[in-house]
Amino acid sequence: MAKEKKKQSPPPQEQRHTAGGIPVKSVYTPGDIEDLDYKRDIGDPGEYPFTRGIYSGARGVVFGQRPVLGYGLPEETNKRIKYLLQFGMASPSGMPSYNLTMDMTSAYGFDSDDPRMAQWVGVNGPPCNSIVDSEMILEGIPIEGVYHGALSYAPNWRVAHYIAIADNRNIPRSNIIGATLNDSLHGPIGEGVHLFPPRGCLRLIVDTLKFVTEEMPYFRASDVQAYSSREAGCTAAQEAAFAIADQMEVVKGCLEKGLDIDELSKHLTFFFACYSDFFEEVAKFRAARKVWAQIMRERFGAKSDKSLRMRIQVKTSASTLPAQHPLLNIFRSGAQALSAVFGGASGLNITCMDEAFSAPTEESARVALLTGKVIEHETGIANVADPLAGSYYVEALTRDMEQAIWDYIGKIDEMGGYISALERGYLQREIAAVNVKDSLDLDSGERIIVGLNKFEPEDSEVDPIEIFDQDPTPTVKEMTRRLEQLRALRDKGRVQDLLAQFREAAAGDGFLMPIMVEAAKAHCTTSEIFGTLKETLGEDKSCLIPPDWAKGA
Amino acid sequence: MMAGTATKATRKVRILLAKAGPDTHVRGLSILMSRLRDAGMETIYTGLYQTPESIVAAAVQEDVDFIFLSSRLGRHVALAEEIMALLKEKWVDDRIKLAVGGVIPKKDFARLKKMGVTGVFQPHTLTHKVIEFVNDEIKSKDK
Repeated sequence: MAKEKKKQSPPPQEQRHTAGGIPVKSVYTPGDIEDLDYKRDIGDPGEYPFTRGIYSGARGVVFGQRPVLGYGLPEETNKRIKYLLQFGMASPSGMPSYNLTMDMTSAYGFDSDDPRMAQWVGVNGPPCNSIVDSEMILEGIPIEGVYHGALSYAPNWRVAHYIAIADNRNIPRSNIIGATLNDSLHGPIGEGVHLFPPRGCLRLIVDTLKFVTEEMPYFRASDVQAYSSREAGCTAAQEAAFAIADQMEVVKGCLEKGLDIDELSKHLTFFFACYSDFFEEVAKFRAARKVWAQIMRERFGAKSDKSLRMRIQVKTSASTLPAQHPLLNIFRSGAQALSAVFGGASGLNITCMDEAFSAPTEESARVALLTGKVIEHETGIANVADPLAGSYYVEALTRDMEQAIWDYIGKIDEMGGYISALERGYLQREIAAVNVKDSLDLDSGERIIVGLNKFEPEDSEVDPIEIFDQDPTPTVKEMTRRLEQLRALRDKGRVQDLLAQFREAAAGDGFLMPIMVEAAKAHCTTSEIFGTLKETLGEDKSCLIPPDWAKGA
Repeated sequence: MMAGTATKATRKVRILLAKAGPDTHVRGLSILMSRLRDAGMETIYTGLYQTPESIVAAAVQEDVDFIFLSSRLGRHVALAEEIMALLKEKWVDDRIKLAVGGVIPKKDFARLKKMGVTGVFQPHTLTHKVIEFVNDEIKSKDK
């Protein structure tokens, strides 16, 4: 039998809030949006301030669907990509696409034969030691005509591989289409990891952006990973504000290097999460677009209207999907995806129902992808741009959300920007405080998650769904063998030359991406590249959680 | 210091919050850090990139009652096996208990318990249940 907690639902008179704490009323009327001017505050879809979306008309509701994928050996990931391509994985423009994550070993810059990493090779993504692995992942998948999604941080070693592969095949670099995160500044507040000191991260981010603005016009290369900070506990307003503040830091860094704001803007995107408070999420996307448009125009002096558009890709939340009653997670993700579409997201990535158990099975990955297809083809909501516009509630909440975002940006500005706020621990403390409150609310039943603290399933020793089991042992063995072979066969003199060049450039003020591309061609390995950067930029040791995190500033 | 009448010295329960290898994401541990401390316990966080050896070394050095291992990437069984073996090797398995939390399927529960892991927690476990677990374990240990 399901057990009920004693705690009652709040009496109807009590003040209600969105999940993120914005006060809401029980009914909204025209009086609630009297202060809003349609032209000034909302505008048509595709027009400043882009509250209603960045494209005019129906184009604003075409959305790509690219689930995050990858596991095991490179060839196993290749198989999973091909499997999901059959079911319509595509970019926002409808091009075949995938969204590839690496194993954490490669993501953090270690080779597969590092004994400290033996438990994690091929777990949650394929290993990527060298260009050989990238070639195997892409076997049978053309460079041209595919939108390549590489969830990699700066330094963009994986992107360097793509460029090197294109060069080797005589494909113009400018024909590579795709996106990478290139965001190592969100790691400290997201996953709790610093790859390099923040100023070093910024330098690497700017380096990639300089490269793509010069050579790869169709490659997005600053996809601020707000998703990770949200999953670390941010409210909707914090998620948007911290992401915007991060991107502002990146833009400032690029302008200091002499990049042109209107060229740069083509490469900027935002990667948001979507949680369960339906209208709060819709309001978040609408408000964030408006804030960004204003910042790009007023602070950074962008001239082209196109430069003011905040491109948003969304992954529905993983941390809202509990282990209890896991089939309900299909609905949770579907509802979150709906609010992302209502909010005008251009890319959609639906999280799999088995997130609390393991990496996705083939079935859970297919169900997640096809959930988006149901929204696209059956619900009709994709026919009209921003259909919730004009709702008294949605417009009032969008305004309140916008204010909350500006409040945070104002505070971060006062501290000197995103990096200073990070270095002071301000962002971390803000998030920790939300987490502690949330855990207390769940304990008390103030906040309900079905199956977790109400309507719990009966205790069972059996998993309610199929589990995707991964044993890294054979992967480590095979990857170690391949690495030995690679090191034996490559031109050692060329490798040493390039690593020396790379070290010199990194220690000074050199342009790194062009050297990384050559290093990729020469079969340098991940740990050689990252190791050089760790030595020259410094390894950040501050990934310990400061003990006073949750106590407020 | 006041002269006490207690027959037994009391001290705070000490808990090592541990992360192994590149298994990042610290939301769970950051909540535990605050809430366990508010419940009168002491917590120590290892930081990332730890190994079973460094975790056990820290646990012994800090003289903790529990190691809480946080795991997101599915390597909990192998890591717990190594940690338990090291605790036994150092003759401290009677006083340092291991609990594991994170992305852990039910099918692994029995295996973990069998090797001596005292608590296994799935994602979203209510924090008060973790606090109750610690208090119950301490009570049964003191008996």
